[in-house]
Amino acid sequence: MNPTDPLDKMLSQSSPRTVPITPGVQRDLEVMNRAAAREVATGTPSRWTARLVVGFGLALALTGTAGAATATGVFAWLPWAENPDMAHAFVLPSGRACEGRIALQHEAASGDWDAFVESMGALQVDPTDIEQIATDIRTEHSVVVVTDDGTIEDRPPGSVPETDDGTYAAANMVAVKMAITRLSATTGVVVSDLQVQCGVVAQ
Amino acid sequence: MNARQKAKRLTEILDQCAGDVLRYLQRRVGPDDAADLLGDTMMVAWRRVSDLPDDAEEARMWIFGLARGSLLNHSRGERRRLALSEKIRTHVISARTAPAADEGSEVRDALSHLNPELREIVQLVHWDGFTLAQAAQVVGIPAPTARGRYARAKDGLRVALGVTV
Repeated sequence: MNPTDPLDKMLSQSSPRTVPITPGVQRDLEVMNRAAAREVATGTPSRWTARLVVGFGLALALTGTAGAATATGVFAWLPWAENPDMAHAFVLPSGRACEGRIALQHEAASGDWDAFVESMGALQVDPTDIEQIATDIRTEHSVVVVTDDGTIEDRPPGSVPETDDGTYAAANMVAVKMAITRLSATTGVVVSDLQVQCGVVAQ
Repeated sequence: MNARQKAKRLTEILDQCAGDVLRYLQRRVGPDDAADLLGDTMMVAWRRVSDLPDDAEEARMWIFGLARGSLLNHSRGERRRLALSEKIRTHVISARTAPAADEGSEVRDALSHLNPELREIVQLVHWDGFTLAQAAQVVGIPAPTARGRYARAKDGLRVALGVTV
């Protein structure tokens, strides 16, 4: 800002009038803040936090067994993941149940969130995508490990043996993100957070 | 900082800056939707409390960034009427008595014809009182990019408004 520049002065004087923050307004803002915290903590549904669950069919296709998404309540989710926008359940080749939780963000100036939510109900995670991604992961010698405590970690190539579980855990989530990305071209909605956990291996 | 400390910190930060965020939103969308967008912003902040920066100034910029995200997600004419926003909406609408100064209408009109990316930087600096570095943080771009956009915006406004230095 240049105090001698008449344009700067004009710009600063062009601001629309806004509500004065009186003690009464401040008090109600603080009430609103706590109400928002409570609403999030209790998972009260709002129009833009509808949880969408996909992937049951995929889990069956991969393993031929039921039981995906039964691990909900067992995992230690990050605070945001306690109430995700979307959950993706799948089963690894070893039979370990896994769940990916996703927070979405509408980043584009255009696009329609409601249309996105509607289309998410029919979101298809293509099993051929998963196989292709798994092949790519193996070709690149990327090593993904599903630890005994159920977290998924990248490891340096050659540091540990590659496993089908690690490869498919990574491939599943990349495939979900790809499916969402395809929709994002028209809706502007992108994945902002992603956490995956798999069942803990008994010691 | 553990989860409990983060929650306490977010409560404090939102209490401190909610008024500024409300006014920021009102300047962009007017009185009808500002309260609901603030409600959206608070909800997103609480859902992402684990991402809250430790530094107070960064935390404030983070909240304004979330508010900007709510703005981008907003479509005019959309009426969500979040219950938690009701009292604030009443305050904002009841304060809508004085029209904006006529002397600013020509400038606001010129601003409305700018590219939105350029306009946002100018508004953040001149309407909301941010430095260029802070404006860059809110928008999520490097500071040099913000400086470039600001300079281009002012060049365009000088031509549109016939103002010389």
